[in-house]
Amino acid sequence: MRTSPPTSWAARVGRFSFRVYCALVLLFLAAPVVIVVPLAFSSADFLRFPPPSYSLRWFNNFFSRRDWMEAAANSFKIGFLTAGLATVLGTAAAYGLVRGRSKRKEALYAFFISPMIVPNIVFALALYYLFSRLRMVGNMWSLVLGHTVLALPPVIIVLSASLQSVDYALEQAAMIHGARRLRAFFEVTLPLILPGMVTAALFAFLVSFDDLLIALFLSGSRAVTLPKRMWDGVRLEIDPTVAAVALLVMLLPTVILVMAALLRKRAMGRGGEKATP
Amino acid sequence: MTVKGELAAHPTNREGHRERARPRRKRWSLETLILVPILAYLAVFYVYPLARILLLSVYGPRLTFDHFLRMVTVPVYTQVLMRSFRIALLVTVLSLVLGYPVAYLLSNLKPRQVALLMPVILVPFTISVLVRSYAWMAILGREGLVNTLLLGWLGLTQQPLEILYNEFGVLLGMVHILLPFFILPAYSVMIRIDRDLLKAAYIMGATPARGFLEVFLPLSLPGIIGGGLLVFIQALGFFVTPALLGGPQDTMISMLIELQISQLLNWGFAAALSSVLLIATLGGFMLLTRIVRVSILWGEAR
Amino acid sequence: MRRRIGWWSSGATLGALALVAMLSMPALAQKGEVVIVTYGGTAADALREAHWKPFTAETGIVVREETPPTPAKVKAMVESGNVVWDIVEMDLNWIISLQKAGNYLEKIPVNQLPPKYVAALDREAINEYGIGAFYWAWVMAYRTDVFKAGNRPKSWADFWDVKRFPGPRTLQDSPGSNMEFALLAAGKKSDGLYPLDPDQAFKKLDEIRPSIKKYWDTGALAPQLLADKEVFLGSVYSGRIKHLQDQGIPVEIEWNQGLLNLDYWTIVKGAKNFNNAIKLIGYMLDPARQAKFAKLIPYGPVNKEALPLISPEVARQLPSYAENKKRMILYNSEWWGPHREELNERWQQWKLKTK
Repeated sequence: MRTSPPTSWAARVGRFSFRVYCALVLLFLAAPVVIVVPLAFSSADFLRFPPPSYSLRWFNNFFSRRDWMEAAANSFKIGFLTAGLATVLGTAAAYGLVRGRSKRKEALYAFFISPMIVPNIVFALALYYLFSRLRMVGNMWSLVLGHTVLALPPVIIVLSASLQSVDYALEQAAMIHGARRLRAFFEVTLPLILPGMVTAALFAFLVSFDDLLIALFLSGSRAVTLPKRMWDGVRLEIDPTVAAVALLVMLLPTVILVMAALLRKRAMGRGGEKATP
Repeated sequence: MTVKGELAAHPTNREGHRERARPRRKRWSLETLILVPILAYLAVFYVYPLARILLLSVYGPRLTFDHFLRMVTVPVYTQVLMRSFRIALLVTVLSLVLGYPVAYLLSNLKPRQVALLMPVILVPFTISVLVRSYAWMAILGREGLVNTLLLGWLGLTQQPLEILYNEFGVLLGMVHILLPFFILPAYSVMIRIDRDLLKAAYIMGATPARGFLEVFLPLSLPGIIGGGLLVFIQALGFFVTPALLGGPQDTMISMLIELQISQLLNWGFAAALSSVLLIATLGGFMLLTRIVRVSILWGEAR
Repeated sequence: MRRRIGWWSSGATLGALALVAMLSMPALAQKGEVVIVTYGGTAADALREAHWKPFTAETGIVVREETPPTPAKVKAMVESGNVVWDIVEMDLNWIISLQKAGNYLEKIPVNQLPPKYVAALDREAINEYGIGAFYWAWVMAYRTDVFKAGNRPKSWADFWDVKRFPGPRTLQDSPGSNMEFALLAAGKKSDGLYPLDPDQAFKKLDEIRPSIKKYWDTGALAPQLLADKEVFLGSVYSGRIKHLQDQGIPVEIEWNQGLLNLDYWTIVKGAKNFNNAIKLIGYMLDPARQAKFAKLIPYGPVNKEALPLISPEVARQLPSYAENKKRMILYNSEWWGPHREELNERWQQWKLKTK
């Protein structure tokens, strides 16, 4: 697809070194992810590299200790609740944005996305102030409510894209046929954006699952999340259990990305059948 | 429709003209009303807490500017602020240098090839910052990957390199995490650039270099600025990476804020620092929205 | 309309996640719980093994652990009415500092503790607002593969001597202990140490600042840095080094000029599980369990009856062991209590300076 200006030897060298440069950058991006693997299976008590030998002992430690397992359970619970809440709120918001005729669409969109930009530490601090006055620090729900705010941006981004790909004419067609607004939405549009909603929910889950700062301030012994436990683990423990957990935690978004990609494929496959109910 | 919904839907009718709440033709459509839940939610759990913190920076028991004064009069605090801006700037420049070529390469590839390479950028992107920073600790430590390679296997150095617990480590870690934030917007903009324009330039006799500099580069500018701003405003507020990878001289604003609360319980000062960070970030973001339509950054077709 | 397989499977995945979440919810304890806050790491491991696990087994009360304890958090909690901690491990100067600033700790009802344990406690282990936990010490630790026999640092003056003992160092992220070390390095005698002279101490600290690679803020960080060889010497909590030595890592501690201290179990004012907290504190005073704890991590027991239960090899590693104790200095919490806050502030600022 590139136009082809004359290729001199110099140009070829230039292009080659350019590609090498890019390859190095991509390697730079991928490397840290890879290094966690040998560490997690290391038998040593410390972050020794290369590991003296391999063992599953840190995975064993993770699965057998109540504090790690509780943290993991909490993270799943909170993540699931956040995903639910954020998806519901976000779908409504995306619908309002995409279908709305407001002149302020860009401004609203920017506002809804802004939690992604606001420094997490400031937001975490603000929430800590709010929830400690509400006596909700250490309560799981304070984390859900806080995480939802952070999860709304990706949800809205995904759903806006999803809604835009659904032709409004379909809903209008349903309404012409006598369906009321809400019914048209639930029976026509919703099924079509369902893959988008699920993708959005998955990303919302990830945002909540990975959050550290809000958890740092708001978690109590009852609501310790996995990142908070890992943070403590990095600073308070010497053994590489954290590496084992990190590896497991890394698998999660990978799985989610794959699922999201599969969903997108199905949606695209369906895109050609947009006109047929 | 609840009372709150009615009131939200008809804000101008507070003078008592509520009979207009039931017009023959609905003035406020479903599309607008449906925004109420999220607006209400964000108002309570987002805007209000942040506003409260902003207020706290000047209003403790009484109105006071002491906390802000402290930031500029105590040298170490001013240094922390300056350092945060400097590091954020460095990270942005490095992301640009590393990210622009990659974005350019990606924008020129066929979709199949892009589909292969995108995961390399996206997968680390989705892994939590904590995990990635932790991985960097293992890579940069004295007995970590880099030093083991250089010292033990390749024998290129005599002493282990000091690349952890200093600014180098922090920069490396931050660039690694923020690079996708540059690449993706830059890429979004670049794929929209009409290659025919380049073709025209070549036809008219331009060299590849000139074609790039005078046609492509200016057109990709929104992507550069957008991506760059995005990286910068996030780098300002970074916590985890500098906390794990940095030494005592690499304290950034976010770490200072955390310290004020967890160690010293200085709410007022913490709020003042937060306000500075917040305003700088939001200011940068508003600038961003002026230059680039935010929706473009995520590849929306509008 | 035909159902699409795509979103079914994704929905199923979400459902599966939810199921995992529900299933992994731990069964709620019948008898309640108690939240205890310590310094984590190997010390918490030892406490868990020696005290908390058997406590839960015997009483059914779940022990929830948190770290680290900070007086600022205690204050914030009590002031906002949102108290989530019950027992907090802290030393005397924090107790004094907190109670001077307000009323943040509960009085310990000593009559509710098992009397035969209380009778055998060291005198200083009983405080109005705290019961002794264990004796520990700040000491200097160093790598023996860097500083070989014959050239080992023996005092804080040696620690400050970057010519004879070059290399990166670590110190605690707190003025407490560091100011004492600085003054000792400057030539102050052990008995003339208190009251501390902050100006002289900070001036001496300026000398060593360039060599401090990282400050440790958790008990595990200092041994970690030593183990990774990121630093060659540093101050540490005395008991944390045994774990490294057991792994074969060449690190030694020096008792000379160490600072001996005693940590207390305190109860936060308004603690939700006050009764369970008293139960647990009483439980931890048992001599046999204290002996077991000392074996797991070399910290001194407060119950005199634990001493005969401790083997000689373990006894030798304890800070309260006579030989070790006499080379150390007693940390003066009484002095620190009133000065804590302002020196904390000063320390934070000092740390940020670049020259």
